[in-house]
Amino acid sequence: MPRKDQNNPSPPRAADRGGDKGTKGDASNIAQTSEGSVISERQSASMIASTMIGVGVITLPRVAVSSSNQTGWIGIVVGALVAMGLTWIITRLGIRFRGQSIALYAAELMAPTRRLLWLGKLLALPFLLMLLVYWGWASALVARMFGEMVSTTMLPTTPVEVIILTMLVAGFYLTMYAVEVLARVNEIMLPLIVIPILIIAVSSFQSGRLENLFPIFDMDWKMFFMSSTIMTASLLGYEVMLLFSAHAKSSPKLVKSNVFSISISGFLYVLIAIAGISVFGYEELKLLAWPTLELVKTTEVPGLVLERMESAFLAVWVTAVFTTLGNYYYATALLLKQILHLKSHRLISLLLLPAMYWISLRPNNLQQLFQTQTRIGWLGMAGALVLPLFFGLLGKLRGKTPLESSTAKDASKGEGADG
Amino acid sequence: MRKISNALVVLLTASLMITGCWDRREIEERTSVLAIGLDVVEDKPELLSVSVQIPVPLKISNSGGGAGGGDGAEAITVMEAQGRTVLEAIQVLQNRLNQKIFFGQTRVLAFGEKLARRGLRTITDPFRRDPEIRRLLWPIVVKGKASELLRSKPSLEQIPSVYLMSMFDNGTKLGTIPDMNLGNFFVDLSTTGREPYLNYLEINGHELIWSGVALLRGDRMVGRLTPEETWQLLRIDDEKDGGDLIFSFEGDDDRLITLSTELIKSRKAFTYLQDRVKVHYDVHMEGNLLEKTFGQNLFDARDIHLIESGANQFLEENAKQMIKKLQQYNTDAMGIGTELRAFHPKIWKKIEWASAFAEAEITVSFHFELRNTGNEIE
Amino acid sequence: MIKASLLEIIKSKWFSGQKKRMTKHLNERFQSKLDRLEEVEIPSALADSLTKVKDVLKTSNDLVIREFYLGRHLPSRAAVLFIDGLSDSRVTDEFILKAGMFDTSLEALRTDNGGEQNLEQLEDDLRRLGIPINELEVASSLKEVVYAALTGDAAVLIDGVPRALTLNTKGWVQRGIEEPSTESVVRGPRDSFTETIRTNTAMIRRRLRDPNLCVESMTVGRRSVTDIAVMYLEDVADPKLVEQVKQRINGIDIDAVLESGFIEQFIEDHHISPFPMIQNTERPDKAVANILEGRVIIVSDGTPFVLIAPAVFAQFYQSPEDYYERFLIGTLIRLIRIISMGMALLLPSLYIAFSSFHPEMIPSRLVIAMAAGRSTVPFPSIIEAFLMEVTMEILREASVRLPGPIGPTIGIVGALVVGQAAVQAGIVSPIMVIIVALTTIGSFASPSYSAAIALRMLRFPMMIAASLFGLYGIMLLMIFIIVHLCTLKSFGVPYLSPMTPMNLNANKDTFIRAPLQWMFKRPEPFQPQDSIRVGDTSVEVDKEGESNNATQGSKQPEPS
Repeated sequence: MPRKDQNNPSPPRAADRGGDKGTKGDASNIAQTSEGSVISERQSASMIASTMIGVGVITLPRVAVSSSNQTGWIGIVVGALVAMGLTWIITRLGIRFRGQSIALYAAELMAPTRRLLWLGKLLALPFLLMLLVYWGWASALVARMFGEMVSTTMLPTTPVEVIILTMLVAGFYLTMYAVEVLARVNEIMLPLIVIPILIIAVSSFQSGRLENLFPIFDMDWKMFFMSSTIMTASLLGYEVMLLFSAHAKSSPKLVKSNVFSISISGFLYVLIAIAGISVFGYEELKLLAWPTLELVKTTEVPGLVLERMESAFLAVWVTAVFTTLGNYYYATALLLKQILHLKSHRLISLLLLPAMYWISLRPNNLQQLFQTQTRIGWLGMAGALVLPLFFGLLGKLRGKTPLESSTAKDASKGEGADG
Repeated sequence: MRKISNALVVLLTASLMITGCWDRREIEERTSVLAIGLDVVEDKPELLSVSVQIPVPLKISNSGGGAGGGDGAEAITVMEAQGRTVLEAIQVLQNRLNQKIFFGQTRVLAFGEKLARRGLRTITDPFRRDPEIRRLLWPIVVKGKASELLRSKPSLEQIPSVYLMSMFDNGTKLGTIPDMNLGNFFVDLSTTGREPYLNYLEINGHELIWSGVALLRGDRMVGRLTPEETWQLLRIDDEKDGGDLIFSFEGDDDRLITLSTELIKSRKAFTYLQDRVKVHYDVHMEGNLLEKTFGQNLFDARDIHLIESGANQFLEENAKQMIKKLQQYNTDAMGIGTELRAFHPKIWKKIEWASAFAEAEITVSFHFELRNTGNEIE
Repeated sequence: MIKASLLEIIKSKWFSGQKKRMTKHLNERFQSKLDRLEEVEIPSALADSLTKVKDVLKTSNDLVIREFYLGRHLPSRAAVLFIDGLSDSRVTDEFILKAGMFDTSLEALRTDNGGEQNLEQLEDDLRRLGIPINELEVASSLKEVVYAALTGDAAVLIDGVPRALTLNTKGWVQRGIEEPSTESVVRGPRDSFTETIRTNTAMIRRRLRDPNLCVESMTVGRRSVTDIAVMYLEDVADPKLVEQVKQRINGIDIDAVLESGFIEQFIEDHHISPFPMIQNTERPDKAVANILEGRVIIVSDGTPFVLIAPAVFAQFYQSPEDYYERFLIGTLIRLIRIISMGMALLLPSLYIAFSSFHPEMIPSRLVIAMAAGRSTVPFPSIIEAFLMEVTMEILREASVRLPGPIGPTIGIVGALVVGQAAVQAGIVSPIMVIIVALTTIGSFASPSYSAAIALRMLRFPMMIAASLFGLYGIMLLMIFIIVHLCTLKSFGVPYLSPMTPMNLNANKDTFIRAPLQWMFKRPEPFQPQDSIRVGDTSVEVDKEGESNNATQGSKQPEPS
């Protein structure tokens, strides 16, 4: 029979009920602000990979052969290597400036002395703005391309605007939470993206013809260069780590896992390109608007109940696009918040929503859309190539920046002050 | 503030629901077209005739609700219309139908022979752009009018297109019918160094007969291959089984032997001599003895060898005939050009394949191996 | 106007990221009667005490006050009070009245009037009265006396002594240990918790004879004063977690706790989410397994359902049965559960999406059959689906309350008849009936009822999404759900661990159930202090020996 408690001899006193109602609410609040989120190595790698694998997957084979015919996939390998190198630089920068994103350490690196930090901020601003424009524009573009695709193939009478809006709202929903949540979402969605694409790529090989891929090295330097540049532009996505590496756990494994994630996306892209080229041949490929989709259409997975797999593929692809869009959207909001030194990025997110919607509707037709895609690719190359190289070099040359020497001040100067 | 964000969410959701679902169309609200037939119009060369085969769901259902058990005759209807372009004709058709036409279930695309000889590129243009059209459907050339094909009623299936569909599906699995679906057709159309071909069908009353392929050059039909020749094409190029071999033993027409083909491996060798491309195919085949029309016991080594060489001879004759036809029509249906371009770019760059094909020297040698004789040893 | 509302948005704290302010503390909160009694001392005179008690307890006809003469030789007047029904009258009769009347002596208490009474001495003397009851306390305030009576204990008031004795005499009728009603297994123990807290803690103790098992008691509820026990393994559970749990429970200010669900709703992290943040179970073996993994159990008096904190998504499809069978079977059955979970959530929406938006994905023959089946149905497929699903939910809810043996029969028959009749009448298509049946059955496959409800609920928004955008709508909503799941944290543990943040060791137990020999570390998300579970010291059965014996027959076994 229950014994009168030694621990709590009397029924609860009035004094015990000291305003504790707030404590249970705290738990849910702790991780709501973006500061203080910690991302594991795996999550960091997943973020890179899932940002890279996005809307471009659908047009990839065509883009690959556009300049170098059947050898297009080699450009992807080159692009992937370049991406790996840049990611290495970005990660090292992130490790060195522990806890600070590019918005902060760019200023540090540009400032000649500690007094002139404001000068550094000023000098760094154009770089950051370029990054900002690129990311914002990229998310709008991703939404639009996605909308066009879905509208053409899956939901013909649904207005493109609605599809774009729903996708943007989904991305917006993601930005309402901490970076931690973003990392988790990426981590859990990556296998959902990679595995179906692998299955499709591999099963489409059965209808492929080997001779479509040959001759392999039949290209001149000009073609090679063009193809590599174009493919490097298609392999963008890792530059978001400029921002998010601030939250990553600094560990020696980080560099390895980040670089490895590039190899995953690179490998996937190469596989798809090869599949596309071998099944269609480069001549037909150049005529197809959405080649990967056509690839899925011609693939028959034996024994499966469903016949046309492309709707299922599109469902999976929605996930890939969502991660890309969400990451870019978040990066834009977060970067803007850090430039403007605001408390939280949520309001910015909300304001960005109509802005991105409007931007995404700017191109009037498909042709203009692809043109915009190319332009953004160039902007992104500038951001993803130039920035890391520039700041990496700067970092090497400068040795210790004046701010780094006073590390104690750094810890509080960084993200701790906000939220 | 909470109230405002809540209000926003409610408004957004409400607006989504109010505006409705644009693409929702119930399954019975669509008119699924199972097969499309395209023909020329006899006295009006600028017009096309488009016919569609539509199933009638009520007659087909044999579950509860609705008139039970339809008979094959009325399970489908065929409608025809004319127009200057394909889509114009389809629009005319739409005006006659109560539901929207839906091409997602279309499985057969039939071209009348006359239309095929005229050229198919412009005809197939709308089918390339429409996302509803599957690339896995079967394009075929029909002797006579395509609409005849749509109206035929083979008795084994309730729905004729399903009959055709399964005929082709199984035929490709067996290796007796080339796997030329719309996707492959388009690829072949665009690829230089390869000419497309389409399956050729004849209609006999209510029976459908597969009679080889129609050869195209560019996008026009220029000739035909008989079923036996088609099988050679399949064996040499695609390593598919083809049909059974029936030939006379030791040249004696009274003694016929039937062999099955099981395993096929084909190797090619290219050389370039004196401005002429030389291609040689080595085809290895394995098979079993299925039938013979004479009593002799053929179970010793010498006889087996005789059978094999007889088979080889027969095959080589056939192949020669087929290649002759190809070169006569100047259609590289075997895709030698693509092989050259891929693996022998130097040769490819030197020649003009369009003309070089007809002059190329293409030889095939067969090596048949008899494996077993079925349940009887004789 | 717009400017004002915009300003409001900007100023709003949610957008600017400030933490929530602590809720104001109501100073004029209702003070329970019981609290007010804390200061009241027990008067020496017996009559006074009794009057006071009767005053407090008002018209309680089940309050028994038995006056008697305590002590064999120079008896003092005393009274024992208890509530009939809560106290075991056999105990009061035998061990209080009888012992008090015949076996105790009051010499030590000869203090009477005059002079300072050494209270400590007094209390000590009181304890030395020979009353043979295992729990005995000396009460100094009226509150303790009243509380004792209300809990089922007996209070003994002695004339001339400003103290009272409270003695453990609890003995009420309770339900015996039966099979769990909601979580039955094929193989495994069949006992379930009951409504008495002490029985439940004992059942857990029986299975976990570890001295590190802590049982911390507290009470919740102003009027119900319900006993709660928080149990955990001291050297395994994360002390921060335990602290959190206790803090949150202490923060509950409520009239009564009728069921552990009340506690659950107060201490859980995300109220609005459809997914449960805290598990509950009727089975002691499940509770013990969770304690061993470093979780905290909250046992509440009055309900057989104990709470398990923290909870993660894996609870949806993990059942203790998985561990009692061999690992291959456990894995396969778990996979089946996961598939049925997916089915329960997605099947109706997939039907709507495929038939209305993407019929090209369905094999041709099936399409024609479906079109034929639907040709008589007057509604669009979304309405048809909703109709059938809602009917199914109504049937399900009704069948819970149907009496005894008729219940399941009517449930099944009702479903069949309704379905068949509906098809015949041409209201729904036959495929719809199949889908609804599969969905309903699939939702029962989840071993956790509160988790299964979440999926049942989400089915309907999923259907709406499918009817708006087809497959894209389904994917969109799935993405929303996944993102939502990623934001959930239960007591600091991410809801989707160990899938993200990825933790390979703990993954041995998510989709597959790895052999027990492999699971030698506790799952890390709960940050247990002692990570090693099954040691490497467990000896592999010498299989060589077995087969040797088989073939060698009568040969003497080798000395090992």
